[in-house]
Amino acid sequence: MSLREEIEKANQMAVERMMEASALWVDVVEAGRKLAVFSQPTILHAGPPVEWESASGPLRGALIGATLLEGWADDPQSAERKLAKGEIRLLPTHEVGVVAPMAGAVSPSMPLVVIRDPKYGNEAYSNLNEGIGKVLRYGAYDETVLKRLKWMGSELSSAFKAAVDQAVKERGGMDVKLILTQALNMGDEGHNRHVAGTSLFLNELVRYMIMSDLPKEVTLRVVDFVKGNNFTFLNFAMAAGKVMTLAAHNIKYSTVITVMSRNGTEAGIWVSGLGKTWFTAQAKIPQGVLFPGFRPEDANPDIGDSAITETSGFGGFAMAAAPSIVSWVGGSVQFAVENTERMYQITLAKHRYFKIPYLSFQGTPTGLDLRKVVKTGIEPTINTGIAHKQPGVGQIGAGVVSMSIEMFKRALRHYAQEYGI
Amino acid sequence: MSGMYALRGELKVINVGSSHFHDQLRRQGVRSIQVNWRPPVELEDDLQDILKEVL
Repeated sequence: MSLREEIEKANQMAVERMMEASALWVDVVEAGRKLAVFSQPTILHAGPPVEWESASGPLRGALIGATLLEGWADDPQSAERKLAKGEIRLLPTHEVGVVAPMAGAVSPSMPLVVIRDPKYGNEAYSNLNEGIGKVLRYGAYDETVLKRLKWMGSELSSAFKAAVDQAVKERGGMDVKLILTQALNMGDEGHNRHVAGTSLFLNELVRYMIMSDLPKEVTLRVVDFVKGNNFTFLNFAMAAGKVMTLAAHNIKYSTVITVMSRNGTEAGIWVSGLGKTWFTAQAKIPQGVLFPGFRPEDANPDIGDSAITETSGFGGFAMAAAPSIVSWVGGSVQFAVENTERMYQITLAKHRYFKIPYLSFQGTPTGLDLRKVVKTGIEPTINTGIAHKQPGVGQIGAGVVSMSIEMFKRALRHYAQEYGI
Repeated sequence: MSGMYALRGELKVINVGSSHFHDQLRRQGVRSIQVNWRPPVELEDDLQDILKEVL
């Protein structure tokens, strides 16, 4: 078989597995109990590897907040000193199967949702979503942020755990892929718009919470929190995206991209046929709509693991499914449609289950192909949040950004070496 | 003369490249179809050589 034929066969398998993977929510666990990396003081972060010296403002803020949350320091100054001295290890989320939005700081006491794919035997994890504005994932760490995180790690996660246990008992878990499929038909794109996804999630959650006999006041607080945060479902969708891309990863010869992520300084990718090697380039600054009082020069370069949504065939790639998203990220409905159409040029398939009503229920662009990105020069488009570049501030808007072509060129050169071209 | 002759009948346009012209014509009721095209990307020689082998 020629190299070209080997690649075609491998890519077909990768895309098939990505589309056919299932994504069931089956558990909520404390990160420190689930992942062995937390046996020493460690904080996970989004994107490719980064050390404190090169970390951007929002990542630094999130790391300071996580250090305070764990009780490893009493105040932000001593937290910063410990982090700068390397007393707390920093590791990329993706390397341990976790995906987390924006700064992606995950420390041992934080709850993780567990998404399982029984079909291909993979598991992926994400943290719980705090809402928008002044939140840890955008680099804020004041008392209100830490108080909310503590509540999320206790009452909210216990209620979610009770609900998901009930879901597992009744139906083997909650089908996150099914919710995502429906949400794409209801005006979400699955990255920056989760109005439908969170509502559908809540519909399921309420039943399981009632069935698990939680106190009425707890149920009410949890329902109000989820109802008040349209981004609740984002983290579930991200872990679902991760479990789908895991099914497509590590296939010899495959040029399918299985990770796209950013740490606020650099952006990086993984290629299915090249294992866990990061190929990186500078992260770009998103363009979009800023909250009142902020200016474009306040924006930090792009950050977060949430590009796993585009990598698995939704998010920015499915923008044509979500005309209302332009009020949040900017641009026009026509731009949203054109963006999806452009992404077909750098992907291998139209998704079998994720459909776009406006495009006559065509499948979303799925299976980003390293070769096509380099050949066409079309950079993948990501819908994203915008963080303030200073630590401690938080979210200042939302917008659109692309992944620099340079990391794809580096990956292709490495691919040629690896496969003897 | 030939240009004037062409415009005597209904105007039908095939627009290649920037969709702006296509959109404006459609807004004015002109029949137009859009062909998405852009000039090929200039790539380094080594990448062109690799792409010949893999694509």
